[in-house]
Amino acid sequence: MAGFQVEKEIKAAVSNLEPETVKSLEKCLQELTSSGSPSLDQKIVKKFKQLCRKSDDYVRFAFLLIMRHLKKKHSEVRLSAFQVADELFNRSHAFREILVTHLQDFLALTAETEVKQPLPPPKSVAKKLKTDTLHAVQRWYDKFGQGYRKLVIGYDYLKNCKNIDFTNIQAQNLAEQQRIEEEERRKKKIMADKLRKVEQEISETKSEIDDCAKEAESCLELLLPKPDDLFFFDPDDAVTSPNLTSSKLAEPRNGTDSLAHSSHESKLSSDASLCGKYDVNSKVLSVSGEPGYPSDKGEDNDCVEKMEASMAASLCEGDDEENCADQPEGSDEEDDGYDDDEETLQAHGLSRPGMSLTVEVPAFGHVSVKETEDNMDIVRSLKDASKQINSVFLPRVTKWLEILGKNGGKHEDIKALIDLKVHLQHIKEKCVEMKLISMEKPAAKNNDSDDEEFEDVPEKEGFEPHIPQHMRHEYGLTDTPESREKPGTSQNGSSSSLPSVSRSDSSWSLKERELVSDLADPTSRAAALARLGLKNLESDPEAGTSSGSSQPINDSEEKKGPAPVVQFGDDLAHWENPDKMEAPSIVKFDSLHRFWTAKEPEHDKPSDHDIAAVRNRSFTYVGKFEPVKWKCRAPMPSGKLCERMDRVKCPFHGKIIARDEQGNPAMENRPSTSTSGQEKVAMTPATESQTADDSELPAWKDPQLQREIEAATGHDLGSARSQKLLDKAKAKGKGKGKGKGRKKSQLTNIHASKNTTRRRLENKVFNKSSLKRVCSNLDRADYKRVRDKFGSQFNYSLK
Amino acid sequence: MISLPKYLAGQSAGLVSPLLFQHKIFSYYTERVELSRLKDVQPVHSSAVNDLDIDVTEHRYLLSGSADGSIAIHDLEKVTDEPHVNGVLDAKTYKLVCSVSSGNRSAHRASIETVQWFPLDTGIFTSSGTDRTLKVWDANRLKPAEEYSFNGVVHCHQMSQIASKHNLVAVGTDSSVVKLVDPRAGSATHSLRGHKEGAVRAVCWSNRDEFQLATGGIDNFAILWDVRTAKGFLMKLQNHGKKRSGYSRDTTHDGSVNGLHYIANGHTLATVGTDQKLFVWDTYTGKKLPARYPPISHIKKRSVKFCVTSAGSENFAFVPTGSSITTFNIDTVGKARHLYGHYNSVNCCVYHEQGCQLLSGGNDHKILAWTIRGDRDYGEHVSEQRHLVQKSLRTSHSVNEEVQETPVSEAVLQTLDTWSDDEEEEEEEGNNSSGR
Repeated sequence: MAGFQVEKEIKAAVSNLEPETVKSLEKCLQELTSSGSPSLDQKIVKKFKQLCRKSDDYVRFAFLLIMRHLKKKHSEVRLSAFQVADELFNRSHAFREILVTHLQDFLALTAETEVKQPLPPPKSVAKKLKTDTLHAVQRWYDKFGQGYRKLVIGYDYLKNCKNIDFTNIQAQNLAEQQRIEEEERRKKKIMADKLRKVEQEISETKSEIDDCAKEAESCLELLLPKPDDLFFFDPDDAVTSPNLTSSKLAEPRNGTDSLAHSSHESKLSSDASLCGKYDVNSKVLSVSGEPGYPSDKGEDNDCVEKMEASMAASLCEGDDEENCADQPEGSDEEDDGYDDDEETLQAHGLSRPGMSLTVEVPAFGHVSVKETEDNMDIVRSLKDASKQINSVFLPRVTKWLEILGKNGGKHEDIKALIDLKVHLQHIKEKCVEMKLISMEKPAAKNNDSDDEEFEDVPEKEGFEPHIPQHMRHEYGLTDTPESREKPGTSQNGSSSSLPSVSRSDSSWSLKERELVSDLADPTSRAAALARLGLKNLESDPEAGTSSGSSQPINDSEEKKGPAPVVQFGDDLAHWENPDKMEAPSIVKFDSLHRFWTAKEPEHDKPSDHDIAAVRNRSFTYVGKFEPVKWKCRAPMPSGKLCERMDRVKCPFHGKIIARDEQGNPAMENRPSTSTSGQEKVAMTPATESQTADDSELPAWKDPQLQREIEAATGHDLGSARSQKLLDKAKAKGKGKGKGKGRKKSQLTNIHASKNTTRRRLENKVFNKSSLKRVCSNLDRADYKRVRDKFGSQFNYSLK
Repeated sequence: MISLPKYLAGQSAGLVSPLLFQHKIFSYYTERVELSRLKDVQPVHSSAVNDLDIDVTEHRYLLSGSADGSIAIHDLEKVTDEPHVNGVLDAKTYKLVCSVSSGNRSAHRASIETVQWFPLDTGIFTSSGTDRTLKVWDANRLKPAEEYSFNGVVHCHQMSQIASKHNLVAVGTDSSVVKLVDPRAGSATHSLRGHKEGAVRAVCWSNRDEFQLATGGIDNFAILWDVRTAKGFLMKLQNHGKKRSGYSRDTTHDGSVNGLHYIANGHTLATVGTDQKLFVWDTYTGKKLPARYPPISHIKKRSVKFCVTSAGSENFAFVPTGSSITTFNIDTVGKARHLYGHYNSVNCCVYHEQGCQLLSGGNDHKILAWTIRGDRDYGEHVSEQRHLVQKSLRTSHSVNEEVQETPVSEAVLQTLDTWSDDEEEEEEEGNNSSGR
C-alpha cells in the first residue's frame, strides 16, 4: 500500500545499523509476538525499549520490524506487535512520526479499515485487536493530536469515512452489559415463577400424597406387622406407639378374628417347655431384627417372617392340638397370637436352661401375601395406593425436587420433599418385596397380553449381566430401585409392569444386602453361588426357566422356545455320511445342432468350490439388539465427562472402564485378583502395563494416540499437555519421535479450525483421481447397460 | 536539496542575481513542503474530492468538485483564526465561500471528474463528470448557464488559459473523438479524430500557443493538435525505445496516457501513464527528454490530476500516487519524496504559487494544505510572541520575577521523547540506593 514495502525498507535500513543490535531487536520482537498471550512480557518490552533508545534510527527500524510482524496472518502476533507499537508510540517522537506517516497501513492491519483486508483468525483475538487499536487511536489523538497533524486527519478519517463512533466504543460495551443484565433478570423471573408454581402445587397435593402414603402404610402394617409389634406387644406399650397398637387393634376386626382367636387359645394351652423355646427364639429374633429394621427392613422382614413360619411349623409338629391347616397363610395372624403368650411367659420368667434349641434359618425368600377372601380389601386398597404412589406421586415428587434444586428453592422445602420421597420409596419397596402383584398372576393368566408382557422379563434379566460387574454399581443397577426406574415406564400404569420390577428389584437388593464386597468380585465363589442361588430363588414356575441348570443366567436361550425348524436339504440327506455328498454335475452341450451332437456329453468335474457350496448351509443370524446403557465418562479437557456411549471401546478414550464421579478410573480400588478374563470389559495386559509404566497418564492420554485422533478430528484433545506430562515424567524417549515437527510457539493454531470434516471429505471426494475413477466407472456402467440392451443391434453398438 | 546559506552569502556578495536568488528561495520552499499543522480547509464535502482548481485571475478562489456531485468554493485569502480547534492552537481555516450541494437540482447527478475556472473571470466556472454532461456555471448565482451532454462519461475537459481568440473547451469522453465545445456557439463545434479507439483521459491546452492542444487516450498515445487545421493532428508523441524481442514500442506510454501537463517553459509536456511512469516530451521535435524520472505508483485507470509548479522556481512535479503524493524536481532529477497525509487515495493536487502551498484532495473527503515545513516555524514564532507579551505584562506588574524558562509550545512539547517514565526512574533510584 502507498508504495510502502516493509521488506525493502528493512533492507535499506539494516545497512546503516549495528548488526548485533538489529539481531537482538529482532529476537526480542520475535519473542514478544510468539508468546500468544494477550499481554506483553514486561521484561522483554523493557529490553526492547532499551535497545530502541540507542538512537532514532533504531526506533524507525523497530517500526519496520513491527510492521513486518503486523503483516503476519495471525491475530495474536498482530496483537502483540500492536501492543509493542503502542508502548513505543508513547515514548518516542521518531516512532510517532513514522507511525503517523504510515498510519493508514497500520490501521488497515490492526483496525480492519480496508474491506479487502480482513483480520486473520483467531476471531476473538482479532476483535480485541480491533477495539484495542481504536481505543489507542483515541488515546493518541487526545495526547498527541497537536503535534501530529496526520493523526488528527486519521482520526477524522476513521470518524467520517469509516463511520467509527469513538464515543460509542464504550457505549457499545455498556449496551452489551445492559443486555446481559436484562437477560439475567429475565431468567431470575422465570425461575421465581417456576418455583412459585411448584410450591403451590406441593401445597395442593401434599395432603393427598400423605393420605395415600398413610393408607398404603397402614395396609402394609395390617398385612405384615413389624417385628417389634410381633414380639414386644404389650398393652402398656400402646402409649408409646399409638399407631402400632391401633393397627394391631384394627386387625382382628378385619375378618380374621376367629382364626386369631383359635390360635390364641391354642397358645395359651401349650405347655411350658414350648413356651420357653419361644422365649429364647423371640430374643434372638429381636436382636437380629430390631436394629436393622428402619434401614433395610424389607430383607429383615423377609427373614423374620420366614423364621416365624418355620417356628410355627415346628410348633405344629410338636403339638397335636395345634391347628396346622391355617399355618402357611395365616402366619402373621398367628404370630400375633404368640405375642401375648410370650409376654406373659417372659413376665413369669419361665424358661428351661437345659432345653436344646435349634434355629434353622432358611434361604432367603419372598414374603408373598396371598390374596384371600379375608384380606382381599386390604390388598386391593394397598395395590391401588402403591400404584398411585409408583406411577403418579413418586415421579411428581422427583420432578419437584429437580425444579426446586435447579431454581434455588428453600432449604426446608427441599428437605421436606426429600423426606417425602424417601417415605414413598420405602412404601414402594415394601410393596415390591411382598410381590403384591405377582399374586395377581393366576387370576390374570388367561389374559394373553399380560402374559406376553411378562414373558419379556427374563430376557431383560438375561441381558443385564452383560454389564460388567464393576459397572453395575455405576449404572445404578444395584442401587435403589427407584433410581433405575424411569417415571415414564411406570406411568404406563399397567398392573403387569410391576411384576418385572418387583422381581429384579428383590434379587438385586438381596444381593446388595449380602456380601457386597464378595459379589463385586465375579471370580469369587460367593458371587457364583449367589448367582445360582438367586436364580433358584427367582425361578418362577410361570416363567418356565430351568432353574436347576448350572448355566449362567445370562444365557437368554434358557427359556424353552420352539425348536428351530430347518428346511430339508442336501446336508440333511447326507447327514450320516457327509463324505459321500456330491455336487450336481453340469451337462454342457457344446454344439447346439439338432443332429450333429457329440456322442457323450462331457461331464464337468464338480470343483471343490461347488461341493463346499452344497455342504454348507448359511443361516442369517438374527441377534437381539442390546442397547448400550453406559457412557465412557472419561474426563475431558473441558471439565465434562465423555458422553459417548460405546459398547466396548471409546474411540477417544480407549476401553470403557469403571469410573467414579470425577471420571477417574475406579480400577485402583478393586482387588488385584478381580482383573480376570471373566470380565467382559477388562483392561488388556498391554494397556495395564502401560498405565503402570507412566503412572501419571491414563491409557487414553497417550499423546501419540491423541495426536492421531487430533489429526483425524481436528479437535484439541490436549496431546501437547499429555506430551509435556510424559516428558516431565521421564526423560526416556519412549515415544516414536513424532514430536519433532512441533513448533515452539504458543500461538493458537489457526489452521486447526480449517481441518473440518467437510474439508477432509472434500479433499477425498473432489480429488482429481477419485473423480476420474468415479467418472470412468459411471461411463463403464452406462456403456454396459447400453450394450446389454442393444448389443445385438449393430446401429446401437457404441464402441 | 538547495542550501540556502550559500545563496544568501552569494547574494550579499553580489555574486547571485536577485532573480536567481528568488528562484532558489522558491525552490527551497517548494522542496520543503509538508503537511500544514495550522492551516486547514473548511470541510464541506461528504464524499471523495475529485478535482481542485485555483482561479488564474486572482489566485484566490479554490474550486473543488466532489464524487457526489457537489461543488465548493473556498477563499484562500480569507483565513479565520480559530484559537482552539481539534486540540490545535492557532489553527487557520480557509473559509467556504459558497457551495452547490449534491442535493441541488442543478448539481451533477454523478461524480464530478473535472472542474475549472473560466480563465478570464471568476464569474464563470465549468464542471464535467460521469453524468455525461459538461456544465458552465454562473459563479455568482451558482446556477448552470449552459449544459452540454455527451454520449459517454466525460473524463476531462479544459479551456485554454491564455486564449484570447477563442473560448473552446476541449472535452475528452469515452469516445475516441475529442470534442471542442464553443460556448458562444452553444454546441460542440469541432471533432478531433486521431485516437485509435477508446476513451480520451487527458486534455491539455498549451500555455504558449493558444491553438495547440495535447490529448492522451487509452490507445497509449499522446497527440498534439493544432485546432485550426482540419486535416489532422500535428504529431503523435512516439517513444522510439529499444526494440525488445522484435516488438518496437512506438507509443507514448506502455499504458494509457492518463495525465498531461505543460511545463512552465511552454515547450515541454509532461505525461503520466498507467505504466507508472512520467515522461517529459519536447513539443517541437516530439522527442522524449532523456532524463530518467523516479518511478511513480498507483496510477489507476482514470484521469490523473497532477501538477507541475510554474515559473518562479524550479519545476517540481506533484503526482498523486495512492495515499501519498510523490514529488520530485523535473529540472534536476533527484530523489522522489513522498508526502503522506491523506488516507485512502489522493485524487488531485494543485499548487498555489502565491501562498507557496500545495492543496490536495482525496478519497478521505478532505482537502489538505501543504506548506513550508508544515508551518512549524510560524507556530514557534507565534508562541514566542505570546510569551513576550506575557513577559511584558508580568514585568509591568512585578519587578522581581524569576527568569522564565525558554518557551515551549504545546505542539513541540508533544513531539519530545519520553523514554523514561516514572516507574523506571523510581527503579533507577532504587538501584542507586541499593548500590550505595
